[in-house]
Amino acid sequence: MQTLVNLFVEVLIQTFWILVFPGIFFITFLALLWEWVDRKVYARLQNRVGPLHTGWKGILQPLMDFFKLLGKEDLTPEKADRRGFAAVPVVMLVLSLLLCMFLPIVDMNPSAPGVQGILSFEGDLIIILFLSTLLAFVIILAGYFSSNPFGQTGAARTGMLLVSFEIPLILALITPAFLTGSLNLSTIMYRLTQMHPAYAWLLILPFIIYLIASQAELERIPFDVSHAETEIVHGWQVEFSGKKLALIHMAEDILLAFSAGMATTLFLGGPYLLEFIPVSVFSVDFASLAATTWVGWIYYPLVFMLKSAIVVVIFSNMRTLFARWRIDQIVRYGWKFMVPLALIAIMIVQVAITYVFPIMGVI
Amino acid sequence: MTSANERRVVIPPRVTIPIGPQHPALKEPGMFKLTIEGEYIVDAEVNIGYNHRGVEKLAESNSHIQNLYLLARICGICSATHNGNYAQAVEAAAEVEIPERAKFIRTLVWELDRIHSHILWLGVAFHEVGFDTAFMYTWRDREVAMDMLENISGNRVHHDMNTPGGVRRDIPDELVPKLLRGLDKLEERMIYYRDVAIHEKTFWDRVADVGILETDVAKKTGAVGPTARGSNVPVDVRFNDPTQAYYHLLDTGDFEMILNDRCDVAGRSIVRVVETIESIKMSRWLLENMPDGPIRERVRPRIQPNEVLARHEAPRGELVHYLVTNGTDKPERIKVRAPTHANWVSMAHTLRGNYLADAPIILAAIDPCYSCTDRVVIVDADDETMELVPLDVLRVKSNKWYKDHPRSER
Repeated sequence: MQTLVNLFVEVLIQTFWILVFPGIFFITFLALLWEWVDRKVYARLQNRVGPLHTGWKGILQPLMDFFKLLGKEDLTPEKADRRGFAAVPVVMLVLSLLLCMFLPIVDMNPSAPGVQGILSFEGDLIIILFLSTLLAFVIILAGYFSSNPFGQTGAARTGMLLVSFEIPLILALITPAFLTGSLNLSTIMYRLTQMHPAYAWLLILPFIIYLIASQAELERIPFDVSHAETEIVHGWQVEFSGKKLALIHMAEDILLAFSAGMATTLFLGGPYLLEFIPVSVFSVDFASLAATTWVGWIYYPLVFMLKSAIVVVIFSNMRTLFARWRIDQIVRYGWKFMVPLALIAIMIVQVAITYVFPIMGVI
Repeated sequence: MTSANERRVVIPPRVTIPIGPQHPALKEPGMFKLTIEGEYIVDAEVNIGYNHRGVEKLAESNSHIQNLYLLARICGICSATHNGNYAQAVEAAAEVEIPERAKFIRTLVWELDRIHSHILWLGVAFHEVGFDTAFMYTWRDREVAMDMLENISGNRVHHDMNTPGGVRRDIPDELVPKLLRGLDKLEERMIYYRDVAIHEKTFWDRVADVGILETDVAKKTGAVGPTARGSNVPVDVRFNDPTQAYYHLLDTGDFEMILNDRCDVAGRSIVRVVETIESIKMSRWLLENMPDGPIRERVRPRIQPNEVLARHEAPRGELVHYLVTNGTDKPERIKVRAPTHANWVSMAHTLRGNYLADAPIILAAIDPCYSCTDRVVIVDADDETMELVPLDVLRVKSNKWYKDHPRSER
């Protein structure tokens, strides 16, 4: 009897994890918050005010937009593939939520060293890369299912974008794995934080490549060719309306949160901040306090949010600074600069950890 | 061996994409059928006429004074242009010379109009290539020009400054320093935008070598305004056939026609931006050298029978008003040839062979003004007659056509 009750409580707690706190509810909250930050920063940089009236400084505006779209009429074009068309938004949302489950926000498994995500196992980095590629394929399908010339052009452009920027993205994400010799997101993050500070220099170039490539992955300016409202009227999204559009927008916001979270996890040291201060009160006492007690449940998410917010602001800045590139220019620059640069970054890492660092005496 | 021995060339399917009548890239209705292979435009068809309002027919039943206000409303952006050019036409028909100060004020309003129109175009061009930040900035600074026009005329958009025989409002002396300050600010900003347009690589990549309109094609198709000047065709009514205070401006020798030999969208952009800076200098010269005196001459409402072709360099190119007077206070016939109308001809040529992604910026590069352009003339190809159709006749005709050809049969 006691074991049954324990099992029941265990299931309840795990359901709470997945549905509420580091799971779906929290991720959605983060996604809407980041959309607000993104819009507000974008607007302020453009000398506008941005969202203003809904909530404090318009902080509820993304949520209201979501609800508004839920209430709008939902149309399916006659020529569209009905099932595929209806499935795309749901698949996008599920995939993006699933991606966020891998992010180490709170320590889910205190027995293992480091902060663990809800889903964490050896090799999850490969699953993450696979899922993010799959997501791009879903976008291509969305364009083709809608049977609209604009949608199909948008889908073709998404394909080209994927061909040129998926590889730099993967190479940039692989670099931390090289450094740490692990394919587990949490382990990579934990080992990076334990390493000598000199290793941080190796991560700068991959970090920049990651920021640019994920800007392409998120289809934001200057890589928003597959939306391109002045050219192909939001491309693959053109036929989606009402609830479907609401889900697609939510999926995009969650992807923004995911991209910022990945940058935080792999390049900015994850949810650790005070631990880096070389005073034993912080680096030993506080670290063990946060890792073992409830303090971690508040401290880790806050640090994670702070670092993600910085990444989101960088993303917004990039969105402000450029005009939209043409698709042929994107492919050309992708293969001429980004892919060689990513390969060079990997070479630098290899040379540094095999030859340079041992000479310099860095372990 | 079952594999194919001959090499197969795979051609992407041809898709026809409609741009318009409603499209985010177009601020006004117009329809462009683009046939594309993959991303290449292989054929383009320009189809305008969605914005017909029957202005010319209406003008024939109005007096000249009323027509000034009607024609100003042909176009919201270049309202001073139509307004001033019509006043110029009426004065020529009445054979009246207007006072010097009125000429200066009229020219000043024209130049300020050109400044705000070109800044507006620059913002639209930035928006078409997805550079929204620069779009917001340019439109913010356009407000300076709008405020100056408001200070002069009392209105932001429809200035209605002109009247047959002069202008309606004077520029008081205490306003001049304020206007000069505004011009200084505008010049500083425009030099900045010129540098942004030339040195911002993402923008430059999108406009350089895009939408080529060769010099001979531009001449052959009769392109006007910045479109022609961006293709190195020296047409500018202000310099070729000056009127009003442009004589005095030209006499100083400080101003010259802006030309560019790039022949692409970048050339047209540079022409517009540099022309704005030139316009600002012209406005400053006009303000500083404005003569004293009356601002209007009396003109009889009844104007003797006469035939006038009035030309003016609108922001978009050469604007032609053809006016026939008949001795009453109403025109016998008024025909407006808006600059955009002359620029449409080369559009299909310019679009062909470019990428689909370049279509919006190529369309925007002529700064199209649909409402200026759309007037209906029915040409019968069999007996070569031309007939100008007013709106109500057109309505009756279309109703009849739809009755004879019900939708179900088509």
